[in-house]
Amino acid sequence: MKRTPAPPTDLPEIHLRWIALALCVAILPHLLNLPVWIPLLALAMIGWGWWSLRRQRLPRRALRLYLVAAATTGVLLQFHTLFGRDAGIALLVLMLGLKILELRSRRDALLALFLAYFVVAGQFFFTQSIPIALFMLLSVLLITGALIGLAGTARPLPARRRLGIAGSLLLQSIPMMILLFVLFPRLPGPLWAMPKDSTAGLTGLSDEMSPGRISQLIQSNAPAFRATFDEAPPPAGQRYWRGPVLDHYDGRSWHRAVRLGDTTGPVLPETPGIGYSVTLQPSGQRWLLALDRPGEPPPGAVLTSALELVTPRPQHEVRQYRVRSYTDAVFDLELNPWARIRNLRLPDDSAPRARELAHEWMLEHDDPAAVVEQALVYFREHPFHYTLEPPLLTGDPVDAFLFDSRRGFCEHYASSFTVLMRAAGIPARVVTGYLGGEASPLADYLLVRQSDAHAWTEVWLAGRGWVRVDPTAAIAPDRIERGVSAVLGADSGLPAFVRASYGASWLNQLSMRWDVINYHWDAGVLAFGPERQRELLERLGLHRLGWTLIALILMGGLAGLLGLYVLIYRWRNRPRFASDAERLLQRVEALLAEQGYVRRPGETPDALAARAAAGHPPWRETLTRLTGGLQRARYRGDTLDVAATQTLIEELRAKRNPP
Amino acid sequence: MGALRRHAVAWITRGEPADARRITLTRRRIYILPTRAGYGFGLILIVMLLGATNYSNSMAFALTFLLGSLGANAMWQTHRNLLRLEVIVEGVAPVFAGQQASLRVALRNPGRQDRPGIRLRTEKQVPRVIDVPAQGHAELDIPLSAPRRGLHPIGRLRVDSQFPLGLFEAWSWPAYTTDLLVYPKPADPAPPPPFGVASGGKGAPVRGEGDEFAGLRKYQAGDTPGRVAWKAVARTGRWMTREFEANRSDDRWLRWDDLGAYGIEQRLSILCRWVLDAHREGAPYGLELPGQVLTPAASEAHRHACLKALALYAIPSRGAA
Repeated sequence: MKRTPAPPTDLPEIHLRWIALALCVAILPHLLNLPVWIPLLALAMIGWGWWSLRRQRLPRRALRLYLVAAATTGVLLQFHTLFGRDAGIALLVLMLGLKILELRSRRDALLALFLAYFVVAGQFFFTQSIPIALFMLLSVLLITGALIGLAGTARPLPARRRLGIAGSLLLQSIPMMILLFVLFPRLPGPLWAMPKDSTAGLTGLSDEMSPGRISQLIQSNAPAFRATFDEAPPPAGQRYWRGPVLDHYDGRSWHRAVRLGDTTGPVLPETPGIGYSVTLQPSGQRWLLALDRPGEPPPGAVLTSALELVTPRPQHEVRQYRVRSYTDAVFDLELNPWARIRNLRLPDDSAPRARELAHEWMLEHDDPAAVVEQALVYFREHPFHYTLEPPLLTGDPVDAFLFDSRRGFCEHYASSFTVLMRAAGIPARVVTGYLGGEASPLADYLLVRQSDAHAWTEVWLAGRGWVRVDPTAAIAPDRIERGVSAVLGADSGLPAFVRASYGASWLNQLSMRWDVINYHWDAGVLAFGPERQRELLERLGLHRLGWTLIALILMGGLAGLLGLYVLIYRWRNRPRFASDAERLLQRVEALLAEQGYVRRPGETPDALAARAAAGHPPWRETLTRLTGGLQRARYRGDTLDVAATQTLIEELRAKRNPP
Repeated sequence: MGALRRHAVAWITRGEPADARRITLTRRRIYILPTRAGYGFGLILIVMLLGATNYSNSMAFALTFLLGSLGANAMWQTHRNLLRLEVIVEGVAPVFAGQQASLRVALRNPGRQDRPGIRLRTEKQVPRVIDVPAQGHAELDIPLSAPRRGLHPIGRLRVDSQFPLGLFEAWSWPAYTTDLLVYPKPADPAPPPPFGVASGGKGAPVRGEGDEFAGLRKYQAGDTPGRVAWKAVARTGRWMTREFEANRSDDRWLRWDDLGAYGIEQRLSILCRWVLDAHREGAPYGLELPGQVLTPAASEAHRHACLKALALYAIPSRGAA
């Protein structure tokens, strides 16, 4: 394609090199987040743009417009929208690449660099991990370095100087950033509707349990949350973390039902309960996990009638909260009729064989508790296997599992057990959550991973309320006590971290160390939101001051830091002289400069004195004596008569032109 | 609008004394505001803050605060780039009306850190950029326009800097009492002077009757061979004529009254041209203005005195000169 010569850019090549580098570094992390063609295309365009600018030829306008249209179409095809998080950031990245193809003036360069700051911010909407945060500092350093070049110096600054200035600016800014981070008033988000794709890439329990859902979670090594206990954590077999409660069965999957008329809260025992705080990873869901059974909801959450902790909006941020749980709490001693109906309902045509079996048990025993026991015995006495790779079930999933395959994991057991109970006339529901948690060897917390996801059953018994029954425990007690890896052998074809041998390996040790760092990062930095801020202000005793005063404190802190920097700068730049001679020479020079005899670059003090003496004859004699003495002191090491020199300087001052 | 602006600047700088040659930019004299880029940067920070709030994204908050702090630090560093800088006017040579004068300014940096990107200009002119080294000087010439004859104070300069980030501009208006002397514009073409220098030998006054040697002048047609300064001719290769004191009675006089047919400014222009021509000839000349007589001489100082007299003719003195 023939290209017409466009007006060349008026930016020097050194600036272009910096800008191109800064933009590339800003785009680089998006290779991990966006479909790979987008950042690659942007990087290619930066390379092309730089090459064209060096040759002083930019692609012509029509071609650029064509590229803009092509990029927009590409994003539209990829995401089916131009709005939202992914598409928006993808467009931003592509536009940054295109911008370099029209880098004509300082204004274009400024725009490109500001856009680059935006692209750097964009990566945090995908991940906020420590490496990405550190990489952010590098990007900001380079973008700022490029910006320094545009500030209009007579000669381009050398790279080291630019990085030095940008680095010192950055170092000065970090304490101010921390102050702002802690004290700047945080509003609870969101301010406008959250785009739908903002939960993409997050994992967690959902409000639905269909076959295979939980086994997907179990494949993931990602942390779900970490819990720090005020005292000793409960024994491993008691670490049931309650999540969504599923009480509607459609013959295949379990859902949360709309619960009308349920109001009863738990009956809290006399015991103090277990206090702990949880740092929850963003799940894109509305659950807060708590040990079975939570007492009071933390601020910003409500406790539902099924004892779920629910937030008004999905969580896109690490969140930290404190809860107190009572493992022996009783709830719903009276079951209202609506709840009873809901927790007994089964689709008419589902699981005929299971229903038949449950019916026999019901006729056999009067006591529902005996029926529960009978069901557990059934699981124990038949050849059931705990496996994460169950065969595909055909026909009714519950019947096929109970009578044919008998291979499955928690979700199969909980689901079929609950169906059996309902068929036997006992109100029952599925509770999903996590079971277990690995104590960190290095810090005081329990790490619960997605692979600890679990499902169990709750049955309602008259006089006892809801009672937790975990049918998986009947099949694989080790799952309860020691986690999934204890049950499955090394040959199970699972990811390495789930296997039994993994726990003690050095790799696990290393990963637990890294997890400690991540824990502090998550708990201290990422979870810092409006609620944590309020807590902190309360702890500092500042919460009573009101936001106006806190804003004043913040301003004062920032001004104090700036003042400190100015003082450090002044101290580092205080006049320093190697000797009295240097100091006095400086004074003479200032005096001459005052009269318009300014030392020119390269002019020696002697030459300056000669010039001043020629221009102002009354000075001639004094100046000759003065500079003679000073020069001898400086270069020959003669001792300088400071008092005499000062007298001479006074003489010089007396003989100057009247101002 | 221009007048309004001038008044505003005068009001803002009312507490800042002018100086003849040297002004140190103190805190009182330095002003600072965001540039357009700075406002753009601020807008981006606001958008980032909204985005961070909407998504409750801690690291987006952190980046926003980091960039905000970066801006605040850039502000004091821009201010610092001018603080304690000494702006010294070294002088300006007189020019003819319509020419451009060149003001030599020295920037002296007493600090231990260099000051890149200092811009200097007079009102409404394109700034010149210079980097001032640590504990050193930088000099530059800035153009001054001189449309009219007379004595014009150079007045306010504008020193500014956007270094390091270009988000803020710090500036100062140091004012100087030093004057720029503007001679009248030499007339071109000009009528010949009444003594007919330009018209050649015809009617030329007889000169050289005296005894006392007074100096050399350029040879003119009609000079007798006895008057030719042969030694000088041999030395310089140019024809020179010796002049004698007794001739002074016939010195050239450039007279205001000889130009009765012209207006004031035109007369001054023509006289200016005559002075220049006469000076180039090398012969002594005198200048006669109403109320002012400069006796004939032929030195550089005399030329300046004549031109200055013309420049200041009928212009009320401001006391300083």
